[in-house]
Amino acid sequence: MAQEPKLTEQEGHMADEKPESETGCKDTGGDGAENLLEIKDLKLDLMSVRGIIHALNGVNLKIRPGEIHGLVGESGSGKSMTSKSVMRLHNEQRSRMSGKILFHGRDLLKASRKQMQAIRGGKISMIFQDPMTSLNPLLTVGEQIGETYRQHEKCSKAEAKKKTCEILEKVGIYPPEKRALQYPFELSGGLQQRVMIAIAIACGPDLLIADEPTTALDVTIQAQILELLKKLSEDMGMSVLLITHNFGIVAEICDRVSVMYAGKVVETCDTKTIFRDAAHPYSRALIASIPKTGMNVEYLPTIPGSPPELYGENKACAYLPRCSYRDNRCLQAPEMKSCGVGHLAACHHLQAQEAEKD
Amino acid sequence: MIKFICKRVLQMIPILFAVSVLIFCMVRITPSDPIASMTKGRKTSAETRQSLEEKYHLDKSLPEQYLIWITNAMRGDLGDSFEYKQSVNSLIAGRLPTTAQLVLMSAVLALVIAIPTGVISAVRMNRLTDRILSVLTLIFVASPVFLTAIALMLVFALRLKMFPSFGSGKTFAENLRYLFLPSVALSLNMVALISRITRSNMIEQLNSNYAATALAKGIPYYKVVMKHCFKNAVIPVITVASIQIGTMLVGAVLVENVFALGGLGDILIGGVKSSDYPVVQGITLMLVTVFLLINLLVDIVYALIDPRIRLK
Amino acid sequence: MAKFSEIFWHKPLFPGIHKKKQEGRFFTVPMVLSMLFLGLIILCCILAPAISPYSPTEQNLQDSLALPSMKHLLGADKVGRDLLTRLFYGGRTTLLSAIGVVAFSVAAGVPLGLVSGYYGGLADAVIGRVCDVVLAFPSLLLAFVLVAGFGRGMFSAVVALGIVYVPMLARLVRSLTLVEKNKTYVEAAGSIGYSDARIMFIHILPNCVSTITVQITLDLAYAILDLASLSFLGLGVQPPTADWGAMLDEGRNFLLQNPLLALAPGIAIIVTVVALNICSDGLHQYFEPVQRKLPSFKQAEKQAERRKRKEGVA
Repeated sequence: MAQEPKLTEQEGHMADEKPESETGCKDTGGDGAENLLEIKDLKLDLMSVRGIIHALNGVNLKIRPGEIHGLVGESGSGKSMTSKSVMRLHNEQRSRMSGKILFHGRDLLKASRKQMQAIRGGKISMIFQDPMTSLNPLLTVGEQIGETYRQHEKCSKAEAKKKTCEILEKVGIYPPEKRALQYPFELSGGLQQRVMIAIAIACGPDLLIADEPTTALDVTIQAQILELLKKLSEDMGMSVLLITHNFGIVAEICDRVSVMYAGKVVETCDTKTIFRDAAHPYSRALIASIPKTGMNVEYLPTIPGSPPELYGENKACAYLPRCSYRDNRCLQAPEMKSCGVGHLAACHHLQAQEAEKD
Repeated sequence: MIKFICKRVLQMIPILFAVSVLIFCMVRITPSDPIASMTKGRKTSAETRQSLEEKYHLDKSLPEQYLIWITNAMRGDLGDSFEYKQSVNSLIAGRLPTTAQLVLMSAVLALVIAIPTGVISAVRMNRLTDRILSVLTLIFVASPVFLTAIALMLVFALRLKMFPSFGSGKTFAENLRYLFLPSVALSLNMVALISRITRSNMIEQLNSNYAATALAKGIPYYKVVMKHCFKNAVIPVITVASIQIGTMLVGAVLVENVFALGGLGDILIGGVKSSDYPVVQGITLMLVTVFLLINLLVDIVYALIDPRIRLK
Repeated sequence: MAKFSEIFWHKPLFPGIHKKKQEGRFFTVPMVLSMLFLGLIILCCILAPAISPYSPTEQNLQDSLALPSMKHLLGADKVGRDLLTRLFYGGRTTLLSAIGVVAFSVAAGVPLGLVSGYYGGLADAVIGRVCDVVLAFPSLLLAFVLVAGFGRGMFSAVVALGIVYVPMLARLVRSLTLVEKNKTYVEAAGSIGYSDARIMFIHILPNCVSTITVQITLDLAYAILDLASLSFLGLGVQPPTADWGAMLDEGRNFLLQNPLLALAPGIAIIVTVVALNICSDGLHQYFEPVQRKLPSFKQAEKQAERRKRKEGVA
């Protein structure tokens, strides 16, 4: 009994490797398009008072042009760290990165400071969790939007002003001429977040990274902001990397989704698949713990244990201590393997789980 | 905005009143005989004594004396000095220009040096430049004003003979040369303090979320520092600087003493030593008023710069 | 304010001592250095009669303004008194009176702050307004006025400065009390029926001690500076006793003959004040280890390796 699953697993392992290496491009995109952003084996170490934190341990992520890609995981799993790495916003003295971040096929980790400046806000832009503190309190909204535009498209002040009003209208702030002269503290949280989005889309970027854009807002405003993001993505053909810990948001607007755990992406698939057949035990446990209407249980299922500390080296699968499938193979961290069309997961036990489901 | 200013001015009045009472009482806390110090201990007839007491209202009760002093002070008359046989007003008028120029020069000098140093220190945090500057500021914070003054005088006036070692000039321009060393001495303390505060404010602003937003917009680092963080970091520094002006007013007394500038400090200290009540009361009241007015002015400037206060 | 330790990473001097506590090291390099200096200065002052070669008031006109030599290590002043000896004795006066100033301000400021924070209402309003009035004076100016009232001398200088320092301390204690007041243990103590005084002094105060200690150390430094200023102006100690401020005042007339007469007491002041500043900062780090300069990756990796090797050996 004990040996049986091991055998099938090994077979499965070899069987899996073939299609991945042979038909690699099928994996990267069903529509055959090139990836807009491809993160390969990204590692990030951060210096802290208590020692070196291995915040990211080999993140692999692909984002296609025009898609809204959800990045899900619990706090501390490295979602925000991944997005900050793409923008290279980490303090250079206190962080160390390795791996590749390919944007339009160019490695951002090798880009010069000048090139990064042109990319930030121009090609890739970012909105943050807390709009209140993310806007400069001493500059008017219009100045902050116009500044971005003028930084990337050399133009006159009057032109920037005109453009600013256009952008404000685009994100649904009326009347734009009046609002442009207001300071951030005069606006509500929802409007502040719209301003952040306006700053982000000012130069028509290819990729918008939204780091928990709705966490600080109340629920009705949340829906409006998500709607706006979706509309902008469709209108401008812009990809969005949406970082969240809320599966409701994922279900609402994401095309595909990646699940992160302890500094690694453990599963990537399209939104429907994650809710129906999540492959990784962690993703399945996460989905199982979402409260659903008509659920008739005494307790909501939870995941026992807590995420691992990221100090020190760990070769084993990070989920091992909390996993019900664990065995000796899990002492070696699993690679991402294909388990369906456009569906990747990092687990040794994919087959066993499939069998269990059937 | 106008409401804000009115409120601040109205708040000042009770404080000034309390300050005047405090000054009046403190000076008289131990019974001493001002007539004796006036007459330098010479024996005086009961008649002269009485006429002197009458002249300076010393024969009246303390509350009466206070009322006479404060009503005259509000009219702008600070009374007559026991020691100098002239009005405190004319004493102040003769010496105020030197002191005012000294304080003004050092305040400007301090801000011009301290703020850039603080910003550089913050941007180069923990690098060599920052460490050197930090050690220097630590030493200057710990160095008493008169010691700095003496050291500067020893090196630049007595040894190198680049500047006059004491006295003050007659015109404003001439004074610039006489007051250069004193104002450097007076400002170094403030330079150290303000550059430390600027540094820590600046570091806080550089780590703020909006700085990250600005960087994520593609704004170059130097522009983020100068355009976004600088203003946010320096506004609170202004408040600290205005309180430091108070320390400077007192520091000026010490520096004037070292360089024998003949400013307000001399007569104030002389007055303290010889129980010259009107002089001590008058100069102290004036300095406190000036100090409070500067604070008020800074608060208004602060409100004008910061939209969060201006628009509320 | 920028902390000294923000700039200089506080390395533990004896890593073994701190095994239990990961953060908040007490014996760090700058801390130990400054404590050594302070200890040395205090020792010299206490042992002044034993170690000083001359009497502080003994005049010897032959040695008037003598330059540093084997006979007088730092030289002698105008009436031939040995400078080093006077420095030791002057330090006694300076340190003792500075401690006096701080003791006075603590004795008055801490209860005022506690009462004002704990009771609030009228008591708080009255104490607050009085503090406002005192703080309306630029620091030393009030001390001048008080000295004018009390008469010149070390005692009145100490009392005057003590009064000047009270409002700052009272405000600090008040704000700390306001934080502690709302914690559960105070409520618990109140529900047992302890008296207000007991709650204030036995329950709240010990929880504020760490912050107050940091402030006291800093105040001690300021007191030394301010006392020196008063003595320099002739409002503090009266001859023949001298503290460092008064010695500076005497010495400045002979800058060209022997600059040490003015500079030596000055340097003594600076060293003491810098050491106190670093101590205050070190204490702050010890109580609230938040900001610390981080080591570079190379340093951290080396440390980790060393730790591994040690563990391997053990």
